[in-house]
Amino acid sequence: MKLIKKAVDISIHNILAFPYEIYLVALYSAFSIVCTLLFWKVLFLNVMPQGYRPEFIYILAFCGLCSDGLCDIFFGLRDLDYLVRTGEFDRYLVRPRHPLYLVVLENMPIASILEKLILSVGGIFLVCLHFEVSLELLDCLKAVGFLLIGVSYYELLYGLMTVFSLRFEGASSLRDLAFQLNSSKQYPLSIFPMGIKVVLTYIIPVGLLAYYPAVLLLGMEEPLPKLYLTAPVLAVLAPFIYGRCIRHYSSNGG
Amino acid sequence: MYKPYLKCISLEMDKGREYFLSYLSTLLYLPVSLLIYFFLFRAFMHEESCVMTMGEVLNYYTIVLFLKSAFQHAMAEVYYVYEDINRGYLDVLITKPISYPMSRYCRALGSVCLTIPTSILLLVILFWGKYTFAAMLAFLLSVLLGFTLLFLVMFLLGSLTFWLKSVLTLRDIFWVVLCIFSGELIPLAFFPAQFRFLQNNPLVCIYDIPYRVLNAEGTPLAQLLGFQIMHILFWGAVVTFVWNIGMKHYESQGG
Repeated sequence: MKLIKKAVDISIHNILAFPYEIYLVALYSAFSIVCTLLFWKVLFLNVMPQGYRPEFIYILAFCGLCSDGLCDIFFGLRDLDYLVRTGEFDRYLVRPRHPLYLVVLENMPIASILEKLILSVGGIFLVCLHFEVSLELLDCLKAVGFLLIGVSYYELLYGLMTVFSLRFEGASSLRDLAFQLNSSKQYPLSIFPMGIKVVLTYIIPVGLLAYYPAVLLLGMEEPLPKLYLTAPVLAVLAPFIYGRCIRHYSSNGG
Repeated sequence: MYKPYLKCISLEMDKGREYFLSYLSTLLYLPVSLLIYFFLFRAFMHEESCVMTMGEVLNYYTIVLFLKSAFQHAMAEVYYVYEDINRGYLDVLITKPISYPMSRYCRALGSVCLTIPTSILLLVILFWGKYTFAAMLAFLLSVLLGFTLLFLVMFLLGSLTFWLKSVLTLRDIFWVVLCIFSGELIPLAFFPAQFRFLQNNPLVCIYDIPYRVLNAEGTPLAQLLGFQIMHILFWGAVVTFVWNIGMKHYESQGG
């Protein structure tokens, strides 16, 4: 708890160092979502969206923003490779907590997380208002629950690929290449053929970040992925791989 | 007089291998991006109701993605200027007998010396026989002009460090703006009639105009290239003005 409080303090300190930064981050999130919405709006002006309701597409975009906010909790993992290369990772190893936990806590952009969550909830509310969609409480709970599971699963895989940086130099390039698929979360998963759909659900699980939560939120009929089969495997594999990689870690520090 | 600038280009070209590897890794993802666009437009697009055919859309995104990969290193220009100003490296750089903005441009040019020709070569191979040699030459010229404009805008954002101290989020916002107004996100031809004025915004010079030059669409070639040159002159003047004012505000971080 003390550590979390410290992480919040660090984040507030960072915000206060550049006070206007908090507005710029909010503006950035707003611009990003406007960009996505504009893409769909312009597309819908040119094409007939057969089988896809506009409200679903817009809610999909806001679910994507919401998952972005939640994924930002693990923002620290992104630069693990850099910490290893510069030898800065050493200081996390001598502390009496799990190093990855400390890396994540120390680099959590709390302002950005909150802004994205507020924007996404506000956006979903506005879409529902505009298209006269009424959401069921149970569907909302299901969507939030699935979103949390989806983000955890996604970050578990992301973290798993990240810890290879402890063992192999430049492992993060491969991870970044694979996770560039993240941009496809703004598209409905159903446009892809089965093979790609499976990849985007289980291997690079971007579908879990926006598509399924949006489907659940609107109470649509769609079979959910069988994460109960793959998640336990990942949960066992992750600490095992971390253990193997950290054993081979050698410091770059002086 | 020009020798130091040529040296800047060659210095950056020496780092070519590093840039080229990152460029190649971006190219690896390019087919995946195209595949995503293909499935997206296949699901949504019905040719009779659209301003572009499926083939034209894929052609458009192929050219844009190749150019984006080639230009990627120039995107870091904001960061370099931001670091030079905030860390006080500028103290040393401004004592040299060369213009700092010009030397940065030469370095940026050096970083794309391999990637732009490779992208164009790959496009030639990909669209073998589709375009004439003259069209490809005009395309190369237009790409270089587009790159120059991208550099100017990035440098301008970096120069704002004189006043704002941190411009990195502003840069991220600009990337989104660039995405919309340059036609990277969706072809500008898709915009409804009342938004067609967007086709005259300066950012179209980066991706959209090179595509139009290659495909000789509607507007005469000279007009398209003239439009790019006009914007380069204008933004070049803005950059010079802002840089000169900023230098008067500059306070060194050095000891």
